[in-house]
Order: sequence, then C-alpha cells, then structure tokens
Amino acid sequence: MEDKMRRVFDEYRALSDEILKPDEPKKERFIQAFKKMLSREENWTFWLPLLTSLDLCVKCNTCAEACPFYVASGRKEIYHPVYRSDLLRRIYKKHFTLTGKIFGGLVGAKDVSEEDINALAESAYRCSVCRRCAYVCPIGVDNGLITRETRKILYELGIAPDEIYHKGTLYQKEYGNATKTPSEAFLNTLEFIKEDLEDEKGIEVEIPVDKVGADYLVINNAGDYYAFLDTIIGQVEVLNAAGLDWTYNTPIENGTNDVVNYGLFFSDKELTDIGRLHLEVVKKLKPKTVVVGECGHAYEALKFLYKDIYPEWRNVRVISVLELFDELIRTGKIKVDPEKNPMPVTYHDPCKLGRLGGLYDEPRRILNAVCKDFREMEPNRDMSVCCGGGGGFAIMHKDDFMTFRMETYGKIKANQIRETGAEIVALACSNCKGQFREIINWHKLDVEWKGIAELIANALVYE
Amino acid sequence: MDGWEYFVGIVMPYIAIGVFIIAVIVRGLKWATAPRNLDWELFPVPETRGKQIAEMLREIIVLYQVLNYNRKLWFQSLLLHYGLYALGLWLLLTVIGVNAYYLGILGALGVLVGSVLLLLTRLSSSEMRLISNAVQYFNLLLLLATSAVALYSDFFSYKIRDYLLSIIYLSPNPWMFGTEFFYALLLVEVFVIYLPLSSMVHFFAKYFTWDKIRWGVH
Ligand code: SF4
Ligand code: SF4
Repeated sequence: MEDKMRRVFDEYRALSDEILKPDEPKKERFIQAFKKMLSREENWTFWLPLLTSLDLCVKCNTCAEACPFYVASGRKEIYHPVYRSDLLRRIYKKHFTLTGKIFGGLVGAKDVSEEDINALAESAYRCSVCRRCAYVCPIGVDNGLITRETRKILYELGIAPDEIYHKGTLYQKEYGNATKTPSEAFLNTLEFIKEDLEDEKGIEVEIPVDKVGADYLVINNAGDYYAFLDTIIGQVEVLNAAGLDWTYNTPIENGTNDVVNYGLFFSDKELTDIGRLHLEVVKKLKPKTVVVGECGHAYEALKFLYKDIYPEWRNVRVISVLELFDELIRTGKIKVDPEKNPMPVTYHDPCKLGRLGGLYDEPRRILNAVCKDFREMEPNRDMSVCCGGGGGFAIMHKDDFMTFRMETYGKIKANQIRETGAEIVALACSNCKGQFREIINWHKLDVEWKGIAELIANALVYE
Repeated sequence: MDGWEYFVGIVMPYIAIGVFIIAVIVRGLKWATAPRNLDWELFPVPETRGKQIAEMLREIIVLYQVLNYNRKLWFQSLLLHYGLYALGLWLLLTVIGVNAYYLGILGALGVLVGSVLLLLTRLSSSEMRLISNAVQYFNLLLLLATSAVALYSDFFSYKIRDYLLSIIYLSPNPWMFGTEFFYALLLVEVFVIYLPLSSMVHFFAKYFTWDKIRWGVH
C-alpha cells in the first residue's frame, strides 16, 4: 500500500508533497505574498471584503452552526470557521497591524512557525467557500472569503492542488479545455449525441458549432461530455425542440470550449487568464447571449466576476441554462408533461447558483413543470447546505480526501436526501454531480441523480 | 481640584471627541474609497433601495441576523444594543434641552445587564472561549465598568447638560461634580476613543459589508 503523506493539519491531505513541500521553509515568502494581498492596488478585486473580514469579527460564534463541515466533523475545534480564519488573522495582526504589534496575543496576534504555515495551507482546503457562514454573520465577515484569499496567497508560492491548477487552469489554457479534449474528439462526441438521439428516440437534431452571431452560445463544463453526457444529450434535445438559434463552440484560436474557471477557487490571476479565453470566444462568435451550462462556479465567474475585470464583458449578456429552460417552458416554446417524470424528485441548491447566484425560483419552476412529485430538501434556497463538491473539492481525491468529502458534507447531504423520500436528486451543477455521484455510492442511497436537462428532455411533448 | 480631574474634565473630552471623529473619518474613508471589489453578493439581494433600507433597519431594530441564526445570544445582545441606542438618544435629548434622566438610567442598565449576560454567555460556552481573545472580554468589561460607574455616579442627572454645553462652547466647566463623576467620565471617554478603533466599529462598518459587498451596491 502507498505510504500516507505526512499529516500537517489533520488526518487528510489536499496538497501533494511535491506541491506543498512541507519540509521547505516558506513562512517569509508567505508573509510577503500576504503583504501583496493587503495592497489595495495589487488585490483590488477583493481588498475590501478581505480587510473587513480580517478586522471586524466580534467572535459571536453565529457562523459555527452554519458551517456544514464543522458541524459534520463533530464540531472539531480545528474546523471551526473562526479557528480557521484566525490562522490567517493572527499573522495579519502580528505583522500588519499596530495593535497587534503592541498588544500581541491579547488582540489575537501571534507569530507562526513553518509548521503553522503547512497547517494553514491544508486548512485552506477544508472549506468549500460555500459562504453559508457569511450569509448568517451579523457583521458581514466572510470566512469563506478568508479561505479563498489564503488560497490566493498560497498560489503566489506556487501552492495549489494539482487537480485544479496544473491539471485544471493550466490544461485549459494549453488545450482549450481542462479535459485536454482535441476539437476533433469533441466533434466526434457531438456526432455520437446526434446518432444516439436518432437511435434511441428517433429524433433528428442539429448541433451547430462555432456559428457566428447565434442567439445563444451554450458553453458547458467540458467534463460533462465525459462524465455527465446524459445531461448534454438532454440539453441538445431541449434546445432543438425549442427551435432556437444556438451554437456550441470549439476552442477556436486561443479560446476555450470549457465553461469552467477553476481560477475562481484559488487565484485571481488564473481567474483572469481563463476569463480572457472566454472573452476571445465571445469576441469571435458574437452571440447575443452566452448560456452557461449546468455549472455553478462558471455561472458566478461569467455572470458576476468578469464584468469588472474586462470592461468589454459588460456588454455580454450571460444567463444560466436554467434561466433559458425556465423561459422556454413559461413561454410555451417547449411543451412538457410532468406525468413523464412520475417519481419523487428533490433538488439540491448549488451554493454558486443559489446563495451566490440568486437562482432559486427558476429551478423550482422547471421541476414543478416537468416532475409530478417535486419535494424540497431541507434546508434549501439561501440556507442550502453545500454538498462538499464546491471550492474545487469535486475533483480532488488524493490520499484520504474522499473520506473527508464523504464523511462530512456528504454525510449531511445523504441524510437530507433520505428525509425527502425522493428517488431522484435533480442537480444543476457539474461539481455537485461529481459529488453526489460519490455520495450515493458511499452512503448506499437508493436514489439516482439527474441533470435538469435530462428531466426536461424526458418530459418533452412533441406535437 | 486634582490635576487628573482637570485633565479628565477639561482636556480629555476634546481628545476623545477628536479621536472618535478622526478615527471614524479615517476608517470610513478607507472603506468608502476602497477599489470596487468584484461582485461578491449573497442572495437574495433586496431589489430596491427601499427594501434594502428596510432590511438595514430590521438589523438595527431587532438584530435580525442574531435573532434568526444565534438565538442564544439575542436577548443579551439586544439589551446591550438598546442600552447604547438609549444612551445615544439620552445624549441628544439632554443637549437639546430635554431632561431624559430615566432614559439614561435605563440605557446604562441595559448596557450593564447586557454586558454581564454576554460575558457569562461567552465564559460558559466552550466554542466561544475557543475563538475569543482577551480583547473580547476587555470590550465587555469596559462596557460593564463604564455603565456601572456611570450609574453609581449619577452621571445622567440633568445638570450634566450645563457641562455638555460648556464643552460645546469651548469653556468646559465640570466643577459642579464630585470625584465619582470623574471616574465615570474617564471611562466614558476611554469608551468613546476605543469604540471606532475596535471591532465595535461595526456600528457603521456594517454599512460597507452589507451595501458594498453583500448587496454589491456601487
Ligand atoms: S458570525 Fe461573523 S462575527 Fe460572528 S464569529 Fe463568525 S465570522 Fe465572527
Ligand atoms: S464557507 Fe462554508 S465551509 Fe467554509 S467556513 Fe463558511 S460555512 Fe464553513
């Protein structure tokens, strides 16, 4: 059996030894990188939320109960949201505040050791940045943001999980998608989808690619074409049934046909780089609307973040595929029959689409229209509990990381699903799909998961 | 009259007011002039300015976040905050010439009882102890001591109006008070200086965390 990596924070490891280099000194570089994050010019993107979050916590403990990971861990001290934030905050106070320099530990300032930096690095990957804690905080302190800023500091030192960095953003920049799929293979997949729909359902569909000036440019998570192909097939069927003017795309030159932007999880530099790839595509294809497929974090990036990074992006209309589907149903452009999905269905609100994206009603309207028995999972909407796939976790599984994902967040979700009595969990986000696929196996749930598009396609009525 | 009483009664009010104003302006400007951060909202975001103001008022009046998400802390927090609101109102009324003696007493009682209860809550919760530093206890002890000594020294009697006006007219005259008043005054001054420098600055910082960040209003 493979030797376990040295433990530096708890019993898990998210960062490999090659990346974390736990025996290499990094404290001074960390402090220098932190200094950069505290500069309003260098870190303008999140300077205000970072500073207010570092300065204003009154230690009221409201966030503790909101944190799914802390609660599911059996309330282990080291997983308390504020404990984790304080790992960074104590360095801030010690090195960057006058009160910390004068009063030291009395105000929570503390110098740290090299081992503390290792622990801090790992701890930054024990929080999915679901921001449920921020939602309940009476002051507006955001422990999730502190996690993300810590990851940004670590990125400056070259430290980020290889799944989202080396095999994530770097692949996407080099190959046009994080799955390293050449355009030819991508086009073959689309051919396969066409044939599949013809063979299975007797439906002939068009799958336009790289069409210039289409009403809708639909970009999916490239991983969906491998892992969640049924969602894509459903999407193609619905788009065709509606008779829309739409297109998929290849990476073209210097673009991407992958809607993901893993930079969102750990680096504004990577976020910006990937944003440029999306911008290239939009500039070339000039769609009237960009439709983000069933992917939560990509919706956040394309809808909310790019517009202040790239002024040109302000003119780009971005919607989620959920908004499009909802509109198609409401306007009668597609006809659906809920009797075709008779099984009890529940829905998990992805953090990035719900709390961070505001899409609460759209998925519910869709599911009520296409399913006979839609049931809410509790809690839901703004208080929905992260599935544990967020923040990049859905594709991270080295060492015992899967146990971490499954026995904390995963355990909560498994119980929530059981309580609904549903047989199908409807999911609108690729990362959630990746996580629920594992949760269902790990916790031996007698349910299936399905993408929203699949459920709609299944309910389609052709006239 | 001792030198320290002279200092506390004549000099320090201006230091306290000065520090308070400068600290509020400096910190306020720092946040107000922050570069526009990337959208980092939390939904639902109230759609209109009116609804946003209503939500803010709900926060101020019922401490909604604490009520909704941390009920164990709510009553104590409410007492403390209402005590402080009452004291703010007392100050205003007194200066404009309304005798609000009992409002002052009630306000100080609210702060006193609220801070004692909050202290007990913090001490009795292992989670809160875990995340607290000395400064959190200091904040509560300062509120507790200030309100207790103010009550003991009959700080809220209407005769304080003459003193307050004398400060405004730049000829401070505290000599109508006994020694215990100066203890209370010293604590009040320390509190006024400390307030905007500490995390208690949330009384106005929250405008930024809500408006600019949570709601993304720019
Ligand atoms: S709820 Fe907010 S202010 Fe309270 S302890 Fe948590 S982060 Fe700090
Ligand atoms: S962002 Fe989510 S996982 Fe992270 S501390 Fe807050 S509630 Fe916990």
